[in-house]
Amino acid sequence: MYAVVDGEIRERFPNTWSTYHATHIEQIPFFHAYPGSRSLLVGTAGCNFSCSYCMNAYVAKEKPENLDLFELTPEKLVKTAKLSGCHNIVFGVNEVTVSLPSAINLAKEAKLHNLPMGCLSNGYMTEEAAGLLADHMSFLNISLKSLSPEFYQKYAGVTDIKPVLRNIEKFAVKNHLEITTPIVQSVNDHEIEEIAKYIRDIDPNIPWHVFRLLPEYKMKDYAYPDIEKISEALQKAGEILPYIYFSNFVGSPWVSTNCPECGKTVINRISLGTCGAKLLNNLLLENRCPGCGEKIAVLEDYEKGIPGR
Amino acid sequence: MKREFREGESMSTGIIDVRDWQVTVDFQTGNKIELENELTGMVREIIRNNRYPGDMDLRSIDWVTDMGLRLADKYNPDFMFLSYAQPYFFSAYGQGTPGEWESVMKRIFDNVEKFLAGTDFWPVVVGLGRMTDLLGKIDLSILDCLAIATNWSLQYAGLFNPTAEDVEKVMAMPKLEKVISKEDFVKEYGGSESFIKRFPDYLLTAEEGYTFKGFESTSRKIKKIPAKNIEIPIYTTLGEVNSLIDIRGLIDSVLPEKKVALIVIEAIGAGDFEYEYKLCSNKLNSYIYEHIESQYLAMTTGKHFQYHPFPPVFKFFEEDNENKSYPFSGSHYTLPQDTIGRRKDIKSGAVGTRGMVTHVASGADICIECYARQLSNMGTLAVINDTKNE
Ligand code: SF4
Repeated sequence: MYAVVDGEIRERFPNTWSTYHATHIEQIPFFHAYPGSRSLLVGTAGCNFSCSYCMNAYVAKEKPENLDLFELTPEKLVKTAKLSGCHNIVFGVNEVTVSLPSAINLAKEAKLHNLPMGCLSNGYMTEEAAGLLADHMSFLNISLKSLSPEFYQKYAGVTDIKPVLRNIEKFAVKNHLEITTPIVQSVNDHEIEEIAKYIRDIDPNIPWHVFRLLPEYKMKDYAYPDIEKISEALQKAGEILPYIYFSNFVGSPWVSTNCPECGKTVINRISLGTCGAKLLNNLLLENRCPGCGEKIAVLEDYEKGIPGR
Repeated sequence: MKREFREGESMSTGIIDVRDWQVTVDFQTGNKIELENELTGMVREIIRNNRYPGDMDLRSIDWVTDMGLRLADKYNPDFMFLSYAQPYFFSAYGQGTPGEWESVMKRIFDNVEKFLAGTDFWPVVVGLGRMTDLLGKIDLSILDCLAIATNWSLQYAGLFNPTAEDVEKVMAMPKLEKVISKEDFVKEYGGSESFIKRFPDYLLTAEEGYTFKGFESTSRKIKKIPAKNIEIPIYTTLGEVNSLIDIRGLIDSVLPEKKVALIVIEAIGAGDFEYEYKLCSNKLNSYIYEHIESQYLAMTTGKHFQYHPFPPVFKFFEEDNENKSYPFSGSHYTLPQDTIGRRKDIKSGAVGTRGMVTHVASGADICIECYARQLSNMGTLAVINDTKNE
């Protein structure tokens, strides 16, 4: 969050974090970036959206001054990442663009120590901000909530979808990109095929995480999404886009990676609820399917000897 | 009714219900399995027809009772474990509006009465201790070392590889009640090998009303935390209990001649306890139990916390990798086998709203628990363990 001071835009709460903890990267979720690695997950407070279903409203929709936050320099966070054996750092929990300078400074410090940095974002930002993220983040997961501006107006509280689409297309060229879509029963479930096509046209190797939206926060009275119906729609969409995942329900059979060529499961995961999953085993051999040798689009670790692997 | 086990499968089955959708898993690996028999059919039916309302929903208190009655009716266990965690959630995260707490308490005891009236169990009812207002947090993020403070153990924190300067800083921190080195702890308490291996280099204890913030803690607002409950209230007519670890022995001594229900209610102390209670010790030396797994395990195994595998603070993230078995059982690699529910000569059932603690601490043949993460309602999990005696 920002204030104009002496004609300059300044971050109001630099290096002020709501959490720093270790988790596995699949939980965040990234399924095609450094499978099985340990991540230091960090976040601040606030968001430029006001999604009616926000699961992290306790930090995303709370004013930073009302929260009990941590003052942590980039050096301290990187040191903690190393002490806890993390291979990478991810900015998640809330929206990265509300704390862009802090996130970028952290990414710079992480780079000095060979720790890749990634982030989650709703993608709603200026071209300049997107350029900064593209320059400093190795991997991103952007939330594409719908292709309809009306959805964004009604459920996210913003007027336009164009910046999100523009930025997704930009990140796809320069960065490792994954996309996440929350599915709200009878609100955006009819868009599944259309979104799959949109992603395929950018790059068919982009993993798409569809998550079953639990009626939370201001949407408490909405219905729980019908898993069977959504699964059917995703099955069809699988003919359009090879890497589709469906999560946020315990035991989901949709969280493993299958080879698009021969169908063999190449990365086994289990869903423990929440938006991500947990790795059970990674069968890839130098990023190739052990069955047919097909290359699987996974960002791998080229830097050997990094802790946390 | 007994599950048939195939080669390589564990002795436990999980059935997950997320509303209108169920899946059966091998509980040790987490892998989906196809398994249909009388027992799984019965459990499926029970959990399908009664959805968990959510951690912050008062109807979740009724859910425990209703599930307990159904399980008692269909499975007829000799030992039943019921845990009501809603008072903890309401106390810690509720609005605190006038009357809220009174309605929680009334609902709890009405439900306990309803369960007891509908069954023929001899009750052992335990209040796990009162909550107290959160007065402040001790900030450990200023230290150089890894200083872990988690949301599941609020009064304790741990330092790993601290520098001499870190220890000096900690010693000077206000509101810190005790700092004990691993060496001193082991000298005083001993403990199992796995417990000691994981124990932090220093264990910190906060004064009453204070908690820690540091690596692993979140900023979710919490209003109350467990008080220093040196003693907790217990109601039973089965015999004397001086310490929470005596509960196991007492229940063992009457099973299977008498059917027993161990009913635990979180976040209540003597002041809110409606039955004629006796107080029992809730501590060992200076270690006071909080409403976490170790308190449950102390009751159901009859062993104090240092004889369980996990200390109050440890580096869970180091172990939480693809090699870990029992993915639905938190930090556990194996399910404790020394709990009441594992006794070979009885049938046992459990229902609880403190998530996985229900199956871990009860070890019951059939466990039904809410599946919630950070107050988000994900559904219901049922665990069917090897039923031993059929
Ligand atoms: S974009 Fe994400 S963090 Fe922000 S309000 Fe929406 S769901 Fe919450």
